[in-house]
Amino acid sequence: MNYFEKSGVFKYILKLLPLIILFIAVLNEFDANYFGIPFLSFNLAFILIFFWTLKNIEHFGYGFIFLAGIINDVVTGTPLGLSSFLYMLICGATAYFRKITLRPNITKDWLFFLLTISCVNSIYYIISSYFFSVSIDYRYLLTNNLATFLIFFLFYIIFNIYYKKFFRKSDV
Amino acid sequence: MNVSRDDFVIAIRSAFLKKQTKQKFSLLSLIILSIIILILSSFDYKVIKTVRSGINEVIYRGSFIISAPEKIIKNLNYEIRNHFGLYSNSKKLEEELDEYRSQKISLDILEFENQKLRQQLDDYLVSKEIVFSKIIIDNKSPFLRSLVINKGSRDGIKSGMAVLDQQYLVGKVIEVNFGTSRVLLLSDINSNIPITISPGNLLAIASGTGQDKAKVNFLKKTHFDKITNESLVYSSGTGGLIKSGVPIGRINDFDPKIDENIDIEFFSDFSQLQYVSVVAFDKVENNEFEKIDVQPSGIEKDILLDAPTLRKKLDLLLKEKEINDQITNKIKLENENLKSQLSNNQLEKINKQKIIEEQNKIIKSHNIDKDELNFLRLNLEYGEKCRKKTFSKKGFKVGTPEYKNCVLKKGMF
Repeated sequence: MNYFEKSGVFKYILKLLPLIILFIAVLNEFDANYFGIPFLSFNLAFILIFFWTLKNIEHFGYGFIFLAGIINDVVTGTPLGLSSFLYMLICGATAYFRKITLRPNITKDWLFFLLTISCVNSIYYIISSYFFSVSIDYRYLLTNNLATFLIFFLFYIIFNIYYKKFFRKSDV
Repeated sequence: MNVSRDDFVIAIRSAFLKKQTKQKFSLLSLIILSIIILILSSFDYKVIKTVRSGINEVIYRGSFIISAPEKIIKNLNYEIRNHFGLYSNSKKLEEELDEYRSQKISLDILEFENQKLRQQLDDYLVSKEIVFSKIIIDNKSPFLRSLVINKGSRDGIKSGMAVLDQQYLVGKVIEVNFGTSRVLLLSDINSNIPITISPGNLLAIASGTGQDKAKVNFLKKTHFDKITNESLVYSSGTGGLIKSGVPIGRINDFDPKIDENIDIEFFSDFSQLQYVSVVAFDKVENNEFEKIDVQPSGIEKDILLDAPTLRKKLDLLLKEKEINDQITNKIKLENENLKSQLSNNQLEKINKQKIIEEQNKIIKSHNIDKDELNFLRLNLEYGEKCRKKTFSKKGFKVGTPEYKNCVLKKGMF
């Protein structure tokens, strides 16, 4: 442990952790449906991408997010490139939001997150249904959207603590 | 107003066009790249298919490793829940097993008869090849219900093949890679399978709902009263991809007076699938049936014996013979028992008859003694009147029956 701390490997891994979680989430297609609660399903990838791109940390690059999107498409069986496109749109939204916000706070971020994922899910529905003829139950998409929005608050607090503890100004 | 619009444009331009500090790619270039991939993936070019197949292979394997801890937790949860209901389940299953065993033989015979009839109609599909495979990714996403199996084109898997869990239909193959394939489950919203609802032989389409059930579509409401909660759902065989009669599920919680939708509860639990069999169905060649009627000789005979249809026929005939033998043995045993019972009864009857005869004799002799005693008593009193006297013609000689009658007559008056 001391060796790792001294050499900075441990800190580096801690900084990479959000990215590792993102890849695990997309490879695993993380879903809270194991508990058998019908409408408890949220999109962890959206939360991770929104939060960490908003913070604009060095270790959460667009290239990796793009790759995560490709992996997600393969795992879920959706048209290849669709998730990457949606993830990039989230990145664009956060970049825009970062530019226009002078004093960020949790409420603004939370509401902007709702707006972003609602737009992204709508685009997902339109592309899947009209261009690829893949039927999607929009009720599930709506409940997923709502659950992701509600749970974002919890993740925001956890990630914020993590961000303050392990990241410096130089990482941003 | 103009200022705010300018700000917006500047912010958008800055967000999408400018490469961010410490970012290696600009956002716009990645968006364009993803759109290009999206467009290319919609085309069915061989190069794209090969590249996509390669990516799929790598990612499926990666996903299988990453999902391992999650699968362990999921299985553990299932095991614990199962453990608590083990005893009652076992009892119930034992009873069911006994019932099913008895039904199995008669079902085999019925199946054989059914096959024969279908062969005559030239509409019978047989499983041409079966590939057993393991599930490597089990996605329980609310948007897409699919599985990834560890068999692909190198193992003979083709798009459209039926996927079975034991005897039950669970889905069909929709994407084939070199060593892996994706299976669309019947519960997926994009799944539509032609079905038959029995009893009633109602034809309809089973569409996935995105939940652990399917619903019946394209069935007129006039047929609703023929459906009960006990109705079974089979594949109808329409389209020729899946043979008819593959069990899918049963109608669940349906009241024709109230309900508008008919839900199908699957026989197979899709969340617990670990291994599945991928099956291709094909029509039986007419030549095969003709061979059955022709009397073969020599080598032809051996070749024909290898034919699966004939072997199945032989198996079933042997089973039928076995059942018949069992029934005959039972009847024989019963007959012997009856015979032995009959002989015992007859012996008893003869013995009793003898006893009765002896008793009758005793009674008879007893009656004779009684008559004799009565005669002697009357003889003492009236013997003088009936006896023949020396100088009279009246009377009878002592010891003759006439004398006895006379004494008895006198006694009566």
